[in-house]
Amino acid sequence: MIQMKHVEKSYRGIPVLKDVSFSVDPGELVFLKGSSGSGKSTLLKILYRDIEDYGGEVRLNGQALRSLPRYESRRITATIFQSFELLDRKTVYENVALAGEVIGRSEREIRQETMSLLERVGLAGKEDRFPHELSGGEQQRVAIARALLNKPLVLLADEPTGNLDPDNAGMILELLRQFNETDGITMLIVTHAEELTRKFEARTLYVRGGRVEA
Amino acid sequence: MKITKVVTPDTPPARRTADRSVTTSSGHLIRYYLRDAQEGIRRNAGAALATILLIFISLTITGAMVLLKTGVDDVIGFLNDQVKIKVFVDRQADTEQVAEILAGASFVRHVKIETREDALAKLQGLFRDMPHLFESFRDSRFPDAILIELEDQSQVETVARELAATRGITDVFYAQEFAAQVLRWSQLISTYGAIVLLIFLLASVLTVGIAMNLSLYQRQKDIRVKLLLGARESHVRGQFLLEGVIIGFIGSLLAAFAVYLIYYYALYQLQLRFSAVFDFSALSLNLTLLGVILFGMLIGLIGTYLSTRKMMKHG
Repeated sequence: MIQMKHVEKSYRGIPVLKDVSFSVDPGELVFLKGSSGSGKSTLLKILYRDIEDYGGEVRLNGQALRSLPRYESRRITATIFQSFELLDRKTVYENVALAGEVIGRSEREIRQETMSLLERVGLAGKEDRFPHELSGGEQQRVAIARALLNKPLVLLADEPTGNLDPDNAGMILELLRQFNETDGITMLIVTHAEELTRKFEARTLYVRGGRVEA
Repeated sequence: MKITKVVTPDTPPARRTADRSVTTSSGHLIRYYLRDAQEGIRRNAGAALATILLIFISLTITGAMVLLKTGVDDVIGFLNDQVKIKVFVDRQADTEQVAEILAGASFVRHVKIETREDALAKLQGLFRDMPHLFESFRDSRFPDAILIELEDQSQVETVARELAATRGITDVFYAQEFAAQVLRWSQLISTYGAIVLLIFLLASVLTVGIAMNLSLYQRQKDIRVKLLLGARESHVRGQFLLEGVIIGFIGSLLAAFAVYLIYYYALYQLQLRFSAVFDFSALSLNLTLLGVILFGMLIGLIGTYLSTRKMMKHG
């Protein structure tokens, strides 16, 4: 599903990623770990097209990432962040529905699937709340529901538990695992949560000094 | 907070691929962006109102100038169509003899003598509500005048020049002379008016740009999130362009209404009184109003286009 071949990236001449090559199979859940500044987020940014100027080749679902329009690759790969990136003035329902609205899905379909996803992430009955009325864990679940509304093939998670206490962090990772298992969504999760990820039967890649090691 | 219920479809425990078909349509997309554009204007109401006001002022001036120019053109046209020349005869000369000579000329269709008494009678009519003013003219020594009607309107200026050089004639008046003066003034007003108008229009475009920049700044996160969710850059930008066009449309619609009122209370009233001079058709009025509205939308579009040029690079 994801293939990186000899990927390199520098910031002002300082190399951040050096000859990075790895692949993620369809339906696989992979943790990406490494110390701060090791290049994990840069790697993810390349995948969700926040960074376009890099060396090497990246393939997504069999296609060269560069050959896809940015909006198209972002419909294949959804992303969630440590900071949730929810819109404060929109309700839980509106935040999730936004994903369907911006690509032109019908209101009926959006409503149906938003309600279903909110139920799956445990937020049924909280559709009319605003983000500031929710806990951090709940906000991240809204972000997950929003990311999955358009049925992406890949979910990229950039430190999804970084702002959460261990209990909530564990629940979020468990939720992601469930979606991975039941829906077969390929997941690449950047995390520091060493303890929490131990119980998952998932491959872990380590980013050290700009290189990716198994 | 515990996850109370995670609904999983009835599937085998092994990994499966869920149905990933997503139906999209441009109809839904247009409805969404229209809704979002309205919300955007509401959120940025102060700046939007200021922009609407400036567009309204600029386009009302533009429309009024178009009407004024049309009115002036009608007056000039009317004056140019006149075939009469009025000449004043030297007091030493015999008016009837001069009139007889002029009547014999090939380019003259008809001559008529206007004596001092005729002139006073005309003045009496003009000053009927102000008899004291008329009294001040009573003792004046008006020269006799001759009204000459020409065969051909195009010869007026040439004939007038020849008459001015003729012995026995002191002054020559003809409508085209006034038309030239009116034209000079009209051109002067047009030039300065165009400068003022240009400043207003530039200010309008800039205000639209500033309002949109403000809106872009307020909605940086919205834009980023939308793009991350797979929105097309052109659609996100299109929404802002739509907001600009809506703002321009509201401003220009108000301006069109104001221009219509100016027409109704000024030009139309003149048209009723002097139908021979003013000839402003309903089609011209409609085209002017339509032009005002389209121009307003264009101002909104250009202002927004300029302010959103760099926006997508930061998406």
